[in-house]
Order: sequence, then C-alpha cells, then structure tokens
Amino acid sequence: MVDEIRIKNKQKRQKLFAELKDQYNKERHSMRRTRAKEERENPELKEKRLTENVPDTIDNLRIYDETMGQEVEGEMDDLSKFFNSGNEPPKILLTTNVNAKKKAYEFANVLIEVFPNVTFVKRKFGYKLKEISEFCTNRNYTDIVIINEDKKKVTGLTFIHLPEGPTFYFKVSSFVEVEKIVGHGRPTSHIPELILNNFNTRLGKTVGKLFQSIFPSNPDFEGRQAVTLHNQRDYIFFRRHRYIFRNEEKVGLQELGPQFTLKLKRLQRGIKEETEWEHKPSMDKEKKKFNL
Amino acid sequence: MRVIVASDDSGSLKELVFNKGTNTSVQTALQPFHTGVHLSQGLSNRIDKFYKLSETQLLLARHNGAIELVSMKKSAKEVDEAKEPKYDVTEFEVKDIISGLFDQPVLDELISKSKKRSRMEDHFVELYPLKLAKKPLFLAATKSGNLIIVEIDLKAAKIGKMASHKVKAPVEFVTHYDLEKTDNFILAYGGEENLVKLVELSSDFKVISDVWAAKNVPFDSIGLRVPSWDVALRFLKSEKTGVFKFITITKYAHYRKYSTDVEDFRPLQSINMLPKGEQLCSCKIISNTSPLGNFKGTNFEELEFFAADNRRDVYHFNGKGRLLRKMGKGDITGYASHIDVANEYLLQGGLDRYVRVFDLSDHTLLAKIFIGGKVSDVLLLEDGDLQLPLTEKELKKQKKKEAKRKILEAEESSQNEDIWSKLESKKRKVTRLDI
Repeated sequence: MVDEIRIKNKQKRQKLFAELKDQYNKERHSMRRTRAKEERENPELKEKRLTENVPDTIDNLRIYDETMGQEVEGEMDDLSKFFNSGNEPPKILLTTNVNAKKKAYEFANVLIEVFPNVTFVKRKFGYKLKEISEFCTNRNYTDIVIINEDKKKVTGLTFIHLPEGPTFYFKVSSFVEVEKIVGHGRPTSHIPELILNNFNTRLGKTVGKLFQSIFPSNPDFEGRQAVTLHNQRDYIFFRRHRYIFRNEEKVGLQELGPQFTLKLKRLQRGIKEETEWEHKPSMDKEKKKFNL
Repeated sequence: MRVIVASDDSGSLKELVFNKGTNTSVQTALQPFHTGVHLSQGLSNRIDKFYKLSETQLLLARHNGAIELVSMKKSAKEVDEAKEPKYDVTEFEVKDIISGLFDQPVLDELISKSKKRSRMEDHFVELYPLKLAKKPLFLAATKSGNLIIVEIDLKAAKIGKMASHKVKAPVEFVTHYDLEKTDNFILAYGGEENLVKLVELSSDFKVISDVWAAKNVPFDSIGLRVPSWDVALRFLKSEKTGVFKFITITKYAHYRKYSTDVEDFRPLQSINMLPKGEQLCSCKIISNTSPLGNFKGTNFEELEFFAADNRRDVYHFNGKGRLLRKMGKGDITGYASHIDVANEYLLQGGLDRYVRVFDLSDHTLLAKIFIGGKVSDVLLLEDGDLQLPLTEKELKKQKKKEAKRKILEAEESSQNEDIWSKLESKKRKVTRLDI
C-alpha cells in the first residue's frame, strides 16, 4: 500500500488516497452496523465488549493516593466543630476585595442568587480581616465569602468558616453568565439539592465538607433545583439545573446557570493561619497526580 | 523502627512499627507493619505534647488542660511468620490524671492585641523533665503563662501538681538551662510581644524571680519599631559563670544571638535569615545537644539547626544563619507542626497528615507514613529495622547457594587432601648440602 501511495503526481496520489480512505471508512461503518445489530439482538455481547475494552484516560491512570477510600479519622461531632451541623442553617457574608471594580459586584450579584441566606456588604477601607471575622462571629455568621477581583476580572474566591476556620482560597475561571447559556431557566428561591462528585482524597473530602456547610442540609424538593460541584482533575465545575421527571424513565434537565470553575489553591488552618495544603506550580508537572 | 505519634483528628496516640524504606504513598514500596490507635478522646481533647518517662511509662499533655500518666505494656503480636516479621505491640493505659491546668481568660484578653486572626486557644507549649532535680519532676508550660511543676511517683503510678507559677502571657516556649548544675532552676520564656526573660525557680519551687530581661532591637532603617515574637530559644554553654548565652528564632525569621553580660540587654547580633517574609515556628539544634536540646558548645558558629516555617518548608541553617538546604525536596505539602532530632534522624510531622523520617547524614527520606490525622508530636522509641522473612524465591536462592557452597567445600577439602598426600608421598631429593 505504501508503494501505491508513492506516486509522483500529487493529484493522482491524493485521489488514490481519498479512495483508500473512503474504502476504509465504509468498511468501518459496515462493521459497526453489523456489530450494533448483533449487540441489539444479544446485549451480553455489548457488555462483554465494554468490559474488555476500557480506554486509558488520565483519570483512570491517576497516581496512587493512599488517602482515597480511607475513612475520615475522628468522630462526626468533631468535624462538625469546624463545619455546621445539620440543625444550624448557614449564614453567609459576601464581600469583595478592597477597591473592587464593577466585575466583582456583578459576580457578587450572581452569587447572591446561588448561596442561600447571604448578605452582601460593600468592602470598605480600614477594616482588617481579623476585625471583619470578629464582627461576623458576633452576628452569628457561619461563613465569609470574599470575591477577589484583579484587573477587572474575577480571579478568586476565599471561603472562611467562622469562628475558627479553616480558610479556602480557590482560583475562579471560565465564568459564563446566566444570559449566555442557551435555553436557561429562571431560578426560584428554593433551597437547592447539592450534588458533590468525585471528592475522594482526604483533602477532597475536606473541600466537599466546605460546600456541604455552605448549602443547608434540608433542600426544598418541590423546587427541583440541584447544584452540582463536579471535581475532575482537581478542577471543580459549578453547575445549577432544574430537573423534571417526564415519565418513569426519562428525566429532563434545564440549566439555570451560572457556570464557573474553581481550582483549590490554598487551605489554611484558622483564619488564614498555618498552611494545611498549598498548590505549587511544580505540582502541575505530574499530569496524572491529583489532589482532590 | 517504632514511633508514637499524637494524632489530632481523633485525639489519639498512634503506634507505628515500620522499617526504613517504608512509603505509604508508593503502592509497591514497603508498608508499615503495624498502626495501632490508642486512647482516642476526640479533637477537643487532642494530645499537645508527650514525654517518655521510662520503657513502661509515658506522660501525655492534652488540649483540655489535663496531664495523664500512661503505662505502656509490650506484648508479642501474633503474625504469620512466613509473611511478616515478628514484632511487639504496645498497650497503653491511663493510670493517673491531673486536670484544670489552663487559663483561657488570659488569652481572651490578649487576642485583640495579637497579630493572630483566629482565637488563641490555651494549650501546652512544653512538657519535659527538670533534669537537675533530685526526684522525678516535670515542667508543663501553657500558652497562658502557667508553669506547672508535676511530681511523679513512678512506683505507685501517681502524678500530682507540686507547684504552679504564672509568667507573662502569651508564652511560645519555656526553655530549661540544663547544661551545667545550678543551685536553682534557670528558665527562659518569651512569646508574641513578650521579649525573652530569664527567671530563676528556687530549688523548693516556691519562689520564681526575674534574672534578666531582653530589650528589643533598635528601630529599623526607616525608623519603625521591629515587632518582637520569639518562637524558640536554645541555650549554649557559657565560659563565664553567671552568664548565659542563647539563641532565639523569631516568627519573622530573625536569628538572634544573646549573651546576658551585654550592657544594653539587646542581642549581640540579629540576622534576617529568610528575606521573603516566611514565618518560622520552631528550632531544633542538630548535634552536640543536651537531653533538652540545648547546645553543649560555646561558639555560636559551631551549631546547626532545623527550623520549620508556617507553610510547608523545613530549613537547615548553620550557626551564621545561612540557609544550607530545605528538607523533603518539596514533598511536604503542609505546615510541619512538629520537628525533632533523635538518634541521627529528623522526625517530621505536620498538617499534611504524614510522618516523615529523614537521615541526617545524607538528608534522604527514610520513611513516609500517612497517619490519617494532623500530627502534633512524634517520639522515636526504637530505631532498628526488623528482619523481614524471606520470600519463596529468596528461600530457593538461599538453598541453592547453600548447596553450591557445600559442594565447593567438599571439593576443596578433597583437593587439599590430594595435595597433602602427594606432597607427603614425594621423596625429598637429597642435596649435597644435606650430606
């Protein structure tokens, strides 16, 4: 075949190559058609083929992490010392960095709709984080969320759990406004259901626990709204949908928006005290090592 | 190796038995033989410090203001000898307890002035024996400035509070001068905006009196006051009697050399070791140390020490304050809350929930073990390796080798006999000289 392609005339060579490719494609399509027919008649064949041919992905080739699949040490009472227990509803204070621009306020408007029981306070000069956290603790706030804007772009989100931390800092990217999502719906004020996907490591479980503490644990099921935080390769994808059961088998989904992606950069003990975990650029060298 | 670890998340004591080369992060590497969880009391009652009294007794200081006397009893673990080496496991039992040693209101008053953003919780900062005392006495120091003398009756397994004194809070360290015998006990303490002070505790533990107090360094080049926050202090041996020499490490990565015979009470030298604003938290001198970690030498430049910052690095500095190396090659991902030098090893444990053992001679990682909880203290009990049982392949190889050796030995001995018999049978030529 290689000898056939070694034709000096370019047009003839291209024509021949196109014919060969077309022939190969036709063979492939016919093979797939017959295979699909066989598998329709005998579903076991399909199952067998799928179990035998598992493709290698970066996700399933991930480097071994001993913290995966292990039970979290300590009792739940102790964990709820850091995060809310089921009875206490979260109360969030939302603010921005000092001297924030329009984009930060726009993002804040979006987050006000996303987080339940949230109060936005415009950040003023002269108040240190220590003072802000003290005011919030005295007023029974459970979390502070700070939007970080840099050069007219929202770059980060800080979550501080009160009164004793921990503090999480996430990088924000790929923000898509609600209006730009085709066929989006309008959210209602019902408490959404929370879907946490793929938070497997010890660090991942801590991050998952943070989101659990931000959304109340008693969702309004009649609202049929769900917030999904899907972790894939350490990027956390935020999506919000409304679902409807069309019949016993089919479920319809309508995206409510917004969409954005978070990446954990730092986890600190207390209110920005000692570092528990920090992302380093050198960690990205290893493509198959994931931390969440 | 046998190590005990204070694990915060479950407030427990963990016993680890492992060999050098253990690494839980690598699936194919050697794994720890045993991880025992003992005396779990939850996060709020976690262990701050512990000290090994003897082969059978241990002293624990918990985060709820209690000190426990714990007995240790070793027993052989039943193992499949073909697969696992034989080793002992320890059972721990609380024998006696004293509680109510904290003073939280003192710290609540100080939090508004502190640079810390979170609430300061009282905890034990030190727990060690007063080495020069005639009977077994321990000093437990708390962040709120309580110095508690604990007496221990080892035979009856009883502990009691012998005396208690109050010093200015907040306290980051209390170091006991154990380099030479003194009439009274010399202690040094300091903390955030609490400059180093030397105090003398009378031999009957009734009176505590000030001996010396340091002054802050002069204002900096732009005329601003330099904040003081000493986090660790180590004594050196002094040539003159009544004069104390020591080094301190500050939160702001300053390395300061002091001598109490200086007129202005200021440090002899203050060196900024890390210019990027890293915050240091601990200091451990590497060699030639007393049981409590003070330096037996007299020259500041002879010592070398490890210091951990509040992010993820463990630094190795020399006596001039120069950074020699960082330990761990970026493997450590969280604040190293505990570092200790023991028997030519560096023990490290931290918020990343790992315990690591480094070799001090070549700075290589000997063992890395995931604990499951944040680590606040690590103690090395045994440093020898266990003899691993041979695998089937190795057994076969060994048998083959032995068989070969036997054949060779038999051949050799028969050859030797032949040679001897030949030599003996050979008639000696008679020479003229013989005649």
